[in-house]
Amino acid sequence: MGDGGVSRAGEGPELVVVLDGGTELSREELGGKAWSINRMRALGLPVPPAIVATTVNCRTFREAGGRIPDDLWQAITARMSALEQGTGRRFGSPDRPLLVSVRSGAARSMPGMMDTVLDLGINAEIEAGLAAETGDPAYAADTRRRFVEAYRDVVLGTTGGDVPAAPWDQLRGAVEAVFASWDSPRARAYRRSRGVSDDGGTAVTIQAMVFGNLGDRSGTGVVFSRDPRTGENRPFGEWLPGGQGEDVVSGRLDPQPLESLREQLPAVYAELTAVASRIERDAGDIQDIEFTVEGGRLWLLQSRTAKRSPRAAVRAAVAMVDEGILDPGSALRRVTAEQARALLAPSLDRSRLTGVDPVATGHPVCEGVATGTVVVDPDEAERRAEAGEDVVLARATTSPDDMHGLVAARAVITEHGGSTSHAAVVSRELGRVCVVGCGSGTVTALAGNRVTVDGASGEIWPGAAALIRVSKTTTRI
Amino acid sequence: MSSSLGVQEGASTARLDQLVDRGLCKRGGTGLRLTSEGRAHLSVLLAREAAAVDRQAATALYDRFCELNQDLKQVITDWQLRDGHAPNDHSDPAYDAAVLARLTAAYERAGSLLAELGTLRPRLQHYSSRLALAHARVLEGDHSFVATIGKDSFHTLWFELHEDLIGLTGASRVDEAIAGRAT
Repeated sequence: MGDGGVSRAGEGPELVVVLDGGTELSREELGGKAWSINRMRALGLPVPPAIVATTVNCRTFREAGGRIPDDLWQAITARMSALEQGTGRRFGSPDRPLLVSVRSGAARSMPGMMDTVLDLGINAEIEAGLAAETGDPAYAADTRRRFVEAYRDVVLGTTGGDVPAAPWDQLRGAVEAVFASWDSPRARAYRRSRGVSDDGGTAVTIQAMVFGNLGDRSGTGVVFSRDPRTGENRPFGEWLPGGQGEDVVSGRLDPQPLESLREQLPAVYAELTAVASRIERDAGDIQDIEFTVEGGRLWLLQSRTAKRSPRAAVRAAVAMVDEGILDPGSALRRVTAEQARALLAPSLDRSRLTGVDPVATGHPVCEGVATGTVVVDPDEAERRAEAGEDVVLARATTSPDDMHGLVAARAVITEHGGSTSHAAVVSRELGRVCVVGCGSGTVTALAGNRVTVDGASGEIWPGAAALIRVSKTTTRI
Repeated sequence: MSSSLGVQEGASTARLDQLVDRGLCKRGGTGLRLTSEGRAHLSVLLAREAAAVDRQAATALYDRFCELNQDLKQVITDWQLRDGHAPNDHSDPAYDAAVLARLTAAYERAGSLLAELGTLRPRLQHYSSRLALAHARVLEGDHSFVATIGKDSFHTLWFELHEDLIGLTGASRVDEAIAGRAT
């Protein structure tokens, strides 16, 4: 496919590049998203075909007064054939239509730019063609509705604007919006705050959409290269037969465990798990991969570093050293101080609380467990804490004048307010166990009592509750 | 403290010494704090001020503050937490930058409110310049100016301004909290 070469033989820099794994342009020239698509293609991974208008075009766009120069537009229209050949679909055609996503992408990810328009290239006629092909008119109509909303929202910036009917006009509008968003106030403020130059520019990536709702052998899902809850080295994820990418996130349909993909499409499952390990090895970290299967063919949509539990972080880091993926130094950096602290922090021994009711319950806003005597006055809290006593400060609500009491207390409990309240913000800054919003008259009535505050569950227990402490010896988990 | 209040270094020290001599403040730990006499005296002063202030204007300003407050507290919370519960370990520059861009947007929306504080009570003028300074520090990359306790961070100042505005409207913080506004 595509030669990844120059768009105009022998003249000037490449304006539009096919991302087939062959280009050697830098991240600065391709932008981060296109660079990673190209990288995945170079690894031989099945990624939907894509092209990119490089960052250099952002400057010529600006110099041309905010319009796409003719030679750039010609290069884009010519290179779209790479997407058509890669998918066997045609952009602008009602018969097997090609829809595309259009995304920004600077060398470094940056908030404030136009992000993504999906499903671009659809109008009434193409919607009818898609309905006939999928046998699902509701899906086709929903796709068009979602596109129109997104185009109005991110390209036109109004809820009632006119969306062009011609697919090529849609494409031109979206590309212009991406380039223009480089100069949005938010993007500029971000660059100013990070000391990033305004010269770099964004690239525009245009990628073929793939369809997870085309018949029985199609669907969409998410796979983690290791179990993000436990760190166990086995693929973990969800599979949604007949679903489109957004359905997994939206919860519109109930996903099945990944094992059902193994039963339904064993070859796809084998390819998917092999690909997940491959990307993990290349990235040196647990991956969270979105994929779509269209007519029995696997496509990877996105791969990123996976969020994980503290336990999984430690277990995976140790295992990756044993497997030769990481050296011990890199593995250590994979476990954050927060994760280590969470694993070692004492937690409530719930087996000892059966038959006991909490004396108050509120919103948990800062984790940890602390026991102390309830004091309602900040001055008294400070005095008793200085005398060596563990105190829990209870207030109807906190004011800036209570700060010394918050500093002195082991835990803070309030009757009003939610997880964004001033008391919550202050407690998190101080690392104080904190439960807020327990209700009028609840916690101040506890004055003088000894209580245990669980900042993870939001429960306040009578007396000094038993704790489980993790041994800090070298037991392997 | 002098720079916060916009007065000469020597002037603030002399004034604070007087307050300590009168038993209204005491020195302790790293700083200065009100004694219970001091707190009683301050509440008299604030009550007199609240009685003299244009109550309607104060309430109007406070209503505008509350609209901004919801958003600003969410931004600060998102700075501290990811997904609403996990502590933000600040290892993701793109996430942090997105939150700080929202902080800047919230600060810019507060511009006209901050500019009008001085017309309500001249003593409130300092919030505008101190918040500008905190915001500038954050933009320069000193993130301790987002919410750190014990310095003129964005949240510290915002919290204090909130308290001042509640006082000027004559409302109590607890009543406001029950109404879902003062927390």
